[in-house]
Amino acid sequence: MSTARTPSRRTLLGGAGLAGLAGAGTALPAGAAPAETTSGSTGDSPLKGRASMIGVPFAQRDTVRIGLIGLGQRGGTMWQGWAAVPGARIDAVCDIRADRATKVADQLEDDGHDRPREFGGSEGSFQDMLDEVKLDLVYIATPWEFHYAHGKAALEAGANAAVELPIATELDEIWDLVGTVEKTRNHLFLSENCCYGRNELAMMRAAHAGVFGDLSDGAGGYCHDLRPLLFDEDYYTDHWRRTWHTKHNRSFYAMHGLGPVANAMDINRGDRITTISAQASAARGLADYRKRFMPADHPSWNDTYVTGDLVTCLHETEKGRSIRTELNTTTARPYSRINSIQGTRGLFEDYVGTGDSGARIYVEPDHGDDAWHSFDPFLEEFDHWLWKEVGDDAEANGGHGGIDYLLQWRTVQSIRLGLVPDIDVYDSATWCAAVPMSEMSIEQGGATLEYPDFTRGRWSELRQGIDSKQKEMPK
Amino acid sequence: MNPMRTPAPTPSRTDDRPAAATLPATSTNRVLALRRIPQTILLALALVLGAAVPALAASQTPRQIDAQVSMVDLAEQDSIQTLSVTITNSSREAMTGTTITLHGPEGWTTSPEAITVAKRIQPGSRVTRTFDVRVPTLRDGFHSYTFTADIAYTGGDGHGSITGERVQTSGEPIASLAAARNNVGTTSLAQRAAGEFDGEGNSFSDAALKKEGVSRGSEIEGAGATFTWPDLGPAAKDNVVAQGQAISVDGSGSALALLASGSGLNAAGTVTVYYTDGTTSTGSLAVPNWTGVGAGVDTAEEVVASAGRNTPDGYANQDGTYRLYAVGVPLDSGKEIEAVQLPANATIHVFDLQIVG
Repeated sequence: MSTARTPSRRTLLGGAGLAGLAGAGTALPAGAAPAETTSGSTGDSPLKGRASMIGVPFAQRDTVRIGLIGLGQRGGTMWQGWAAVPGARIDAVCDIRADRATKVADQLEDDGHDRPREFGGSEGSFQDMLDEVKLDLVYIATPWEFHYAHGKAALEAGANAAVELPIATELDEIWDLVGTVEKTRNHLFLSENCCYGRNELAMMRAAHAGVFGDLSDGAGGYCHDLRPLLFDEDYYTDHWRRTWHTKHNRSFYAMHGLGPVANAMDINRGDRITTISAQASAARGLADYRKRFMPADHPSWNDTYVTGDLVTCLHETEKGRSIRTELNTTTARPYSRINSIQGTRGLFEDYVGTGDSGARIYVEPDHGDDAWHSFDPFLEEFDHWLWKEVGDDAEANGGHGGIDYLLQWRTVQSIRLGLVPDIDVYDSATWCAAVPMSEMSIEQGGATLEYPDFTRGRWSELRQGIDSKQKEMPK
Repeated sequence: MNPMRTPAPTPSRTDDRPAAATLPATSTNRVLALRRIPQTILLALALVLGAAVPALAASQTPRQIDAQVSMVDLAEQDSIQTLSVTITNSSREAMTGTTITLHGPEGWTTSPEAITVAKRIQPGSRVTRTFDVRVPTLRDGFHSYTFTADIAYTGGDGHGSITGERVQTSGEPIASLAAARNNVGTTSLAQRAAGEFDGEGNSFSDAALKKEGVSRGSEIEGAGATFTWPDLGPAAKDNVVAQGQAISVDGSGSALALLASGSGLNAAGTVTVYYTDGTTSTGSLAVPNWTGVGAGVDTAEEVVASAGRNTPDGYANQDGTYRLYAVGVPLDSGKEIEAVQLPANATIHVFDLQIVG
């Protein structure tokens, strides 16, 4: 298999400067000796005078003033969770369709909240909102192609930005968001709800406790039959999501699988992804569905689908681990995120087990009988404090089994306490780079491409991340 | 869960490199011999001696480099902590090119993997470098955590490498072997359904054992010890499947003897003995499969061989022989034992454990 180099932001956007260096072990007096070295650090792109945002906490706010951009299927439900988190206040809502903003404002008011300011009616409405309302956090749930512009604008307006998947669709845009975060000192992060899944978090914590031994492999994915929604004329406004299937052969949602595995493997916190290669099966699922279920006058008959029904990404890491992610949203199948982690002493597999967790496990020395066991006792042992603390509220307040609300609750808590974000721009960029780079690899026949190091050499520094220590939400 | 204790660091380990070849004869003999050897051979000999002498000197020099690994706070779980490695150079030569590679407990994340000390470590001085360690949620029960710092260097005492180690433990050991029994290894025919010795529902037949003189509370000799067959009824949990459990053991002696059998072909692992003075010792344990094959066939002492076994369908395999073994693990004589940690290998089944005086 060939190895090709992909352009870094340095190539794409120009610029020069000092490469980021890994943190030294112990500081020495200037000029006393050569620089101390730590193993395995590679910088990919210059900081260009900007300081890294690794380990930088949110600016603390007692009340988190939130603005929402995009109030369709996703944003049109997520507002409820944001409004329910203690200490959060929705001050502004925006959608290009002004009636959606009014509808959400009405509902907030009906629920007893202060009425937020409404923005809408034009493509520039979001900028009006950012210019006129002082916000601490902007949540962006617009179609994918707008995420980059909306996220960047939020940062430049002085707000932090929580961006739905992906933070941007192209590699140069992703690099630019990293640079904009470093320049503005505001955080932008992927609103990756699957990282807050109960099983995913317990899997991560068990991995960190050494239950699986030294990790060697992980997998995850987004396997969700979206065909009825993709052909629905209302669900995705202007069928924007189906349109992506006519333009790109890539893993649109690699992050759902990559995020949880990356957390378990301490990617950007002790290890890093070094390569990607991707393959796609033929694009047949949507056409088959259309043939069977869509009327002859449906606009989808003008489409030609190019996204493979199964897009698989393979990654290697600096420590010699492998990661596989799958995207399959266009064929008949039950839902699964196929989470798994494998180490020298055992493995975990989700969506295949019995018991309450729906996951199974086999690890030494707990098991020695070559038989699968329910993950349930391990879930109890390694349940994340967020689920213990907020789990009931999450299941009452949010979609996707509570993972949305947990992400929202934790985000607001982190800002109110002035904590370092669980997921930072470097994690977000790393996970989202698989979206455009999967297409690059597929176009080159599945070539193995070198993966950018968005931390600019600081990937080997151990940091807390989403495996956090319990904190109380301020009263 | 409260960390049980944090024993003193074990002394720096010496490496296991073989000693350099010893020099031949006396100087007088060597001179006489040299007169009869062609010059090319002399040249080759000189080269060999040139390489061997410094190595010889290093092997004979007492270790003068020390490496100490600090502790982490096991009570502060779900945190990133700092662990330091301190190198002390007590030799007469400076150490150069010193690299510290840290290995944490299996599966734990430490960072960085290695640090190269840029400066020379002068004679009589010490250097400390720090690593980050994630202390995760600790599992219930007794567990030990080993941090190993491998240090490579040039100069100093000439040995070239040394290892510092820190072992910490958490949790309390199980009160006794009886309390640790977790597997039904022996059944009567009537209660054979409870048998689970090999994970397939098979078990020792108490009737077959009785024919070999093994019954409730009877004594079995082996490995220098006198074992007691569990004084339990059939279908009771009569053995411990080794899963890394630590079991409280009192006493001292020269060896630890185990009455055991295997349910796999590699029923082997390391037994760790914890002493009351905070030190540990380890020993290898290997027992053959109960059918008489696999690990330990050359070292384990067969003490019981019974005909046939109970299966879910009844007494069967009458032509087969199912065995118990005695194995010994050396102890640090004179030290009082606090606990014994079994290997983390669930194919090892321990029926009794005794200290040999």
